[in-house]
Amino acid sequence: MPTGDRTDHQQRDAAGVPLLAVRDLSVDIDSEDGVVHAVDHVSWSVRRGEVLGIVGESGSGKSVSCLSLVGLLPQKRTTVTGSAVFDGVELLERSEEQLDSIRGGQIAMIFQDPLTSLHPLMSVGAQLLEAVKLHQKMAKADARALAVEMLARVGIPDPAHRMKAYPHELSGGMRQRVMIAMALINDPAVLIADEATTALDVTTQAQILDLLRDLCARANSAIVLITHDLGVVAEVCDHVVVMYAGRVAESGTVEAVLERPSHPYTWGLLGSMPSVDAKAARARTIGGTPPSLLGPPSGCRFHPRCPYVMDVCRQEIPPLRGSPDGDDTHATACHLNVARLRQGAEQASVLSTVQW
Amino acid sequence: MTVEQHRNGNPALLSVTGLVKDFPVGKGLFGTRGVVHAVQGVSFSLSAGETLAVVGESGCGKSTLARCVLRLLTPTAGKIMFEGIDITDAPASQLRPLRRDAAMVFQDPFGSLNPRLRAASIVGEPLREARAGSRSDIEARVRELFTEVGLNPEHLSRFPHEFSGGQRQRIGIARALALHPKLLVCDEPVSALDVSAQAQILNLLGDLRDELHLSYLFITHNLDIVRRFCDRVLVMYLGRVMETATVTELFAAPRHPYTAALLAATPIPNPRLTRARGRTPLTGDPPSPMSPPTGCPFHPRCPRAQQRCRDEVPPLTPSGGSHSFACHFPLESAASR
Repeated sequence: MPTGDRTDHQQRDAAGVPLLAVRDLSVDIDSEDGVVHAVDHVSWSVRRGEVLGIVGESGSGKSVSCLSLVGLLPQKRTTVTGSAVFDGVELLERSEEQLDSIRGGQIAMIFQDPLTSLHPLMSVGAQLLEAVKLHQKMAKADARALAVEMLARVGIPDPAHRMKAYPHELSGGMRQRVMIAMALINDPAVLIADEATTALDVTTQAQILDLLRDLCARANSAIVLITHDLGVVAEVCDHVVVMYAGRVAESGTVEAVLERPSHPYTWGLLGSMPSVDAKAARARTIGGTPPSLLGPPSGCRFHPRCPYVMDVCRQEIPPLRGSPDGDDTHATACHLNVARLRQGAEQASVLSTVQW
Repeated sequence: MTVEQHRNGNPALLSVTGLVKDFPVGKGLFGTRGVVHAVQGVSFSLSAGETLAVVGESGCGKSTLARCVLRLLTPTAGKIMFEGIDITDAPASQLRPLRRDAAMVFQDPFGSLNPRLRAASIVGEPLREARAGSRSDIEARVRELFTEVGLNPEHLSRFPHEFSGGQRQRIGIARALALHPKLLVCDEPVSALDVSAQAQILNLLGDLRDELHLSYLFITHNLDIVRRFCDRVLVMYLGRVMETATVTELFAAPRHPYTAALLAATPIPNPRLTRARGRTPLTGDPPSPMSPPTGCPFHPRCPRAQQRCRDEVPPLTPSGGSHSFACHFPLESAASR
């Protein structure tokens, strides 16, 4: 697609200014059983034209951290601290009204389950038009034309006819495409896709991932992709943040994190992937289950499951520091010394190339 | 033991021939509006100790096939033999041996356990139903099953919601193992779990297979799991078998374009390999099983489709060994590459 004139945005990008920068984000949620420390001092950023992957198991805080940015958590019960700067604006200080104009407009979200996120009693067209009406002043006929065009762009055949369809008349892949069309209809600068392809078949997933990458490149927007699938990350992301129990375990470019992983949790995740070591009789598993965030473990939160645990891990929180590969965008939060990390990274990278 | 030994030595534990299952749709005052052809003439056999994977996209009929095999559904046509006995139309009263020798592990560890029963009653239910001994015998067996699947017997009196997803799936497996079955039908047993729990459950199923000499009919859409866990594969599309082969053969050289597309769409957790691979994704969605396309069901999405594919249904033809595929214009075999 033509790049046209260089805009302010593009000049800022050239200077390396991120479009969305999250610093020291913490989220505490009050529950019946006590305070859940869902997210603890998490930082990441994403630039235009870039896809950031946030990986982790359920309960790692990946969804909560993104929901907190756009004020989608129950306000009375949550405490959000830190900072999230979007295009020069601090999101965490916005009022509900100001967030309303940003949500679905400049920052759009795609949720995991397209059947429950679409209104079952409204036609697809009506839901798309509602999204346009909230954020753009446009004649009805123009809005309609835009909606039809969006449906066509996300690969829905016979879009004019499909405008009248209700969600239950569409297949899972089609519904997810409608969700994407709805998220993209207002030309968002940031798209947050929360497990957007998890419920889909692999062939449909491949189509949707291609679509997201293409849109990211064409519209020069930023995508935050929340997933638990390292294969999906390898496929579409530029950078990746690995989260465990509300904290960042490791972050860096996709090449760095997946080819030179330097956190025992990432090693475990890669070893658990069934594809990784097909000839081994057993998958290398991470023993145990993720901790409860009501009373998370002291020190490094991964220490009860870590095969390399030392005394210091139980007492001190490991800071996020440069990884042993010397790549300054690659950071790891682990107490192991450089030699051990390097050794583990070699083993894990061998694993991730076996068989393919 | 290898697959070949099974095939030559043991008679098939399960053999299915020409299985058809239709579901009438919109049954009402004015008759039926149509028929969903969920399974259309599927044949396969499974030997003792063997693991057969059934793969395909949602709606391809793989779960219906599994439910027919266990006679949770009655097939429309075809024949199912279990341990040499025809169970195709057997009435419920004659299915008792099947209920003991074959069990199912379900996909959803949240929906498949009764939330009001304690773990011990859930696991003990098949034993009580089969009157498999006194109360204390059953208690002892439940305790043994708990240890076998890696659960702490101290948690016997807990309710399902007090367990994590992976632990709940272990309860489901313990329940399935209660009556010493020979065949486990697993319908997407790990797809609802986190990556680390997936690996743990697969390891458990693998250990159980070795210890108890179990056979698995393994329904999944995840080819990575097929590769690591199964002996043979049945690839289904719109109720028909597209290709069947040993895992090694299928992954080394798929002959059917649909199998190749599935393999190409599976993400690899290695950025260099995945981007170097390149791929042409399939377009569109699988057609409705109510009105399947003429000829080969895959032809509307197939990059190699020609006129013949629109007219004739390709038969499942063997191509040496255990490899068969249903395609008029198959991909090259490994030998000619």
